[in-house]
Amino acid sequence: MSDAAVVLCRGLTKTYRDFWGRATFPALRGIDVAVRRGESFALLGPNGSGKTTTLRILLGLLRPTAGEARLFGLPPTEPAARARVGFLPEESALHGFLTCAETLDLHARLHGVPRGERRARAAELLARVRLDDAAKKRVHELSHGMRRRLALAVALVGRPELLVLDEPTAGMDPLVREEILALFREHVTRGGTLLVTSHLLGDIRGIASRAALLANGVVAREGDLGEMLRREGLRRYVVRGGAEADAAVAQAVQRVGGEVVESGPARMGIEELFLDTYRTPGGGAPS
Amino acid sequence: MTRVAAGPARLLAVAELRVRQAHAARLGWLVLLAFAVGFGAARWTPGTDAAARAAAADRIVFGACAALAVLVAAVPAATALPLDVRGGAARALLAAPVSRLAVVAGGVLGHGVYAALVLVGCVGAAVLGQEVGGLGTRAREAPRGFVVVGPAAAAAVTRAEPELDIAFELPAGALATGQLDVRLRPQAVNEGGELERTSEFRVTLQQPRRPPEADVVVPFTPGRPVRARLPAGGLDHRLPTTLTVHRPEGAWGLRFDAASIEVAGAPRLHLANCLTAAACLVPLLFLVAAGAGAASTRFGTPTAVGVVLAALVLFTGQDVLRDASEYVLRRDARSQAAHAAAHEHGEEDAQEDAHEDDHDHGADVSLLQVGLARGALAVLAAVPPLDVFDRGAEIGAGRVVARGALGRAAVAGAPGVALFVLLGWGLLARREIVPR
Repeated sequence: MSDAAVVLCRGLTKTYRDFWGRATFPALRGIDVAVRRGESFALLGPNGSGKTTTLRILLGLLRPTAGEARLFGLPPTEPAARARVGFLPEESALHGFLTCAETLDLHARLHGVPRGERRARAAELLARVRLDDAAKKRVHELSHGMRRRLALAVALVGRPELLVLDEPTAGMDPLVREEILALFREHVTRGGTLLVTSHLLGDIRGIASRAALLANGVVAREGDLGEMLRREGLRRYVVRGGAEADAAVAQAVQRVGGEVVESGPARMGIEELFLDTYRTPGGGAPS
Repeated sequence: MTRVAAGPARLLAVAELRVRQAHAARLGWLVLLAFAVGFGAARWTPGTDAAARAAAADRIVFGACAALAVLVAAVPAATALPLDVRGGAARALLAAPVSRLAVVAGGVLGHGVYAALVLVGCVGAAVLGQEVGGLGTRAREAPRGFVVVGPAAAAAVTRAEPELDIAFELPAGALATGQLDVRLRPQAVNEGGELERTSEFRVTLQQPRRPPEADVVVPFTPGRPVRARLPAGGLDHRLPTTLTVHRPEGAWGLRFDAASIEVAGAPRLHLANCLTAAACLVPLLFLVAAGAGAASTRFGTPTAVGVVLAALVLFTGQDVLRDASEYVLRRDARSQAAHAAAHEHGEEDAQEDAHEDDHDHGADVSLLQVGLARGALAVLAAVPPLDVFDRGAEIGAGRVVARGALGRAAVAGAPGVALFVLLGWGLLARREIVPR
């Protein structure tokens, strides 16, 4: 574990307490996580495993009961540390009375973006999340998907080095999700770092290279996501041909000492079907 | 690398957010309510004459505007952060690179500014309502600033000494209307043994090497301040002036305490005077917003609003608390004195004295009551008095609110605002935004 890590948790422990200070629920029990620069890291786990608590400690919204958390080597309570972070919360609860442009302007100001750059940056981000036509719409008038896209623009407004995403694609239709995931990949391609939690493991596979699996507040497994997902001793092929090819393939596999465990017609996922149906020929999606 | 702007930029961003948030709550309609109050007060306030009606209406109108503005300072400030926390917007706000001090101070600034804007709007609308309701500038006398001209020490006008001369410099603008407006607060001294309900005296103005102005007969009722408008067309504002009070006859002699004679200065527009009074109220609005903001960092919406309203009731009723505390301490002192006397004069006499004392002043107070009274007085010593901010009495009396009052109000309010901001910062710094 490196001290130069963008995100560092050492023995991070969090026990929630009630109004009288009595311990109620141990959310984290000494987790160690390090995220290096340029890495995309996923925190995975079922509900109540401690993912959101970890993110909130890293954003200074919660204080750890024990252990320490560091962002760029600084405590998360330091605004200077958070200035390098963009945060997409699980629910995009922005101020409903502001317009999209005003929301971005507010967060640009909070991130210290100079006055002269704010308008251009807001316009650029609204275009990137395809909300340029809704710049003057108030947040409470937006659909759920539009709010998620605006929240992502808010997360990106400070040109962050680290993007922290809590369930980033929850509640999005596959068209919007594809676009959002593309933005995350672009962030990593540009050298940014990504820390993401999600229940939608298919989405994580597309953007995260390393992951930690949390269970009851401890890290159950951690490592390269591709390695962890590999099924030892099994290979996967997709063969062009009809059912008549099954016997030939099985014979060929048996000749080298293997065994066909499963075969059948290749099917697209229901999301691919959705994308195939609704994606316009020019590559854009209907809004 | 993200450039990090200086703290005030973020504080101003939070302040603007709070102004927009309060504005989104559609509190602007209160300005229309203020217009209605002004109109209604002008139409239906009773009074013996136009001046009395105007005075009563002005008190009602300014009091209503002040109350509305205080509520506008208190309620949005007490609810903004709890609503953000409940709605989730606090996560984005507090995860941004902004210190929690800036969040608290920006909130106070935003809510204070918004309440001040509402106050100015309400005062303007209420004065307009008065104008439309028939109690406008033409129907009332312009408020004027009054300058104390004397006497330097208590002086009497009696049969033995029937004249009192007060020399003074004419204040700027005093002769704007060709008359000099003078306010006198004479105390009555009965010299003749007869019981007259009213009496009169004469007042004259004179300047060196100029003929005296015509004297004016001023009727007065013992114990009540009187106002006289003296002809002053022949006066030169650059020359020293002498005001002579003369009591030719009657049963009542006059005694003027020090500084009990005042002369009016330049007239001021009623609206301008009301706005100056409103400006004096602005530090109180910031104080209320800061207190409400501090409460909101710890409590949810209902508790924060309740705490703030309770604090406001205590603040406005501080005189009652102070009087009650002093009364308890006075009773305690009397009781102590009676017990001391018991030791000095013998058990029996002292018990009798104590019994009499109790009969007059009630039973002994408990140690708890004394402690509470002392504590209350200690706390109240640090609380600025309400009338530093509330200049409604001057508005009602048709007096110009001195611009120095604004500075005094600011100085009185600033420590409290700073204290509440620091308290709110301390509480918010410890606050955790717990997942639902």
